[in-house]
Amino acid sequence: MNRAPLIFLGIFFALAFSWTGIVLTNHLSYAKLQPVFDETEGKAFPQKLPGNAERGKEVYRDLGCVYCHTQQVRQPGYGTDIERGWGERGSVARDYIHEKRVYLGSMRTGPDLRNVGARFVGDAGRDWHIQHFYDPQITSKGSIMPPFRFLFETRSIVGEASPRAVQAKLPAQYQPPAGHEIVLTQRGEDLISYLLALKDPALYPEEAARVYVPKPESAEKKTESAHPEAAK
Amino acid sequence: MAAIYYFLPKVLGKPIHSYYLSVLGFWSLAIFYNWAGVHHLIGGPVPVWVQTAGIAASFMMVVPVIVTGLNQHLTLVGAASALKYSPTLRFIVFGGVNYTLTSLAGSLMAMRSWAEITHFTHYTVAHAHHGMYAFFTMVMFGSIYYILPRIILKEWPSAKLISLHFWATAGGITLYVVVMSIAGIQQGLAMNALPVGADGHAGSPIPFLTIVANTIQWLELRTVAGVVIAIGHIAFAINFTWMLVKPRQPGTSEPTLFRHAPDLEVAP
Repeated sequence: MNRAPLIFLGIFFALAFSWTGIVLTNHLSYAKLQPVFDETEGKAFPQKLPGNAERGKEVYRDLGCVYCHTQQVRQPGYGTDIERGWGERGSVARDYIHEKRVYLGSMRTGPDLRNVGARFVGDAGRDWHIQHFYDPQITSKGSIMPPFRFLFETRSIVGEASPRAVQAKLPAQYQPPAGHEIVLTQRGEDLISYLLALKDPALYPEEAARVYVPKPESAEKKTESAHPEAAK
Repeated sequence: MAAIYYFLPKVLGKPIHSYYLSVLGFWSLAIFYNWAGVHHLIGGPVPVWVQTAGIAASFMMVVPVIVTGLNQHLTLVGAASALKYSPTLRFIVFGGVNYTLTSLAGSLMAMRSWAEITHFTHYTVAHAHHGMYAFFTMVMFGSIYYILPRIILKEWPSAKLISLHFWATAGGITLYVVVMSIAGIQQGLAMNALPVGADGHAGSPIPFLTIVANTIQWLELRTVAGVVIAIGHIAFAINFTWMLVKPRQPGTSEPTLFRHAPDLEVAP
């Protein structure tokens, strides 16, 4: 090992080179990204998640949703994310600036969830998620997602029935025995709050000036081809 | 990689083909490999120049891969018959060949047009297992077969179990990589397809659940492959435990080989 100093320097250079390129410079450029204030709406975008959705994000992490679901919409013309209704535009770095942990994901065993909050909205969306978590076959026949029934609790009714009971939303074969009710646990509530809140705003003006907008002729093709009923 | 470079000459009893090629392989790997990981973010919300740098580095990885593959191949040339006898060599050579294959596939996957199909699909899963199992794990198995008898001064009790271990793991992981690659390519092509609809316009994507249903047959084959690999692991575990508990034989011992090797015999 008479060349130890040379080998050390070489390895140090190789590591420093790639670290500068893919860690340091990127952190510097991400740090410059700021929320964009929209004067017509009087809000800055992207918005922070509300508190219960932020807790739900921890449940999302805890349950390993990221192993089967991505949170990044591909750019128009690259894949068919836009045609599938997974987003109105491709994801950009600014969308993620409020997130300490980013669940980009690398596998789509299930669909992309970056804008799932735009697909399932309000009380109807909440009901959809309740059915889907209780048994994905209720809403998505043939899905290979496991049931997340541990997000629910089946318990006997003591005194009055709970206002939070959800069995009325489930089909007949899932009904609990008489005198029992199914309630959503706090983790389930939080996770659904997160999924309902998960959507990116319209394109920021700064990015609109860059490469993310489809070229005119392909934009025309895209509008023609957008079939909202395929948005699953 | 270092294990291959160590055990290949050690088992064959001849030096590595070229010292300079191995140095070239080491430094090109050290410089390019660190950048190559970015190819998992192609099409994602990261700066395009970073993706491009990752793609370029992934392609430069062809240099160390070809150099290493050539060097190891040229070392083995003329002594390949030792594969019939030596368990260590068989695992290591299987790992080395798969290093070349998985790395070249990795460079291909960095191409934007290929990543458009294979990214987010089972193809990536196949690739990850190709690298971590068919290359790394198999080389480690080979190393264990060499190192352990020299540490605990006992020989492996059963050549048949080693043989079963090799064929089950090698066959299992090959099946695994093949079926998952096919599944991933089909899945990716279906995800990106915009077939012409009833209205004559190309444009409706194939429903997601249809694509999921088409992958299930391949996922079942994946389970079969996993079971075959598990059989190999059980054979290894039995052999390993047996080796630990069997009494140490007094005097000299001879290594456990797949079959009697006349050319490896030491003259009395």
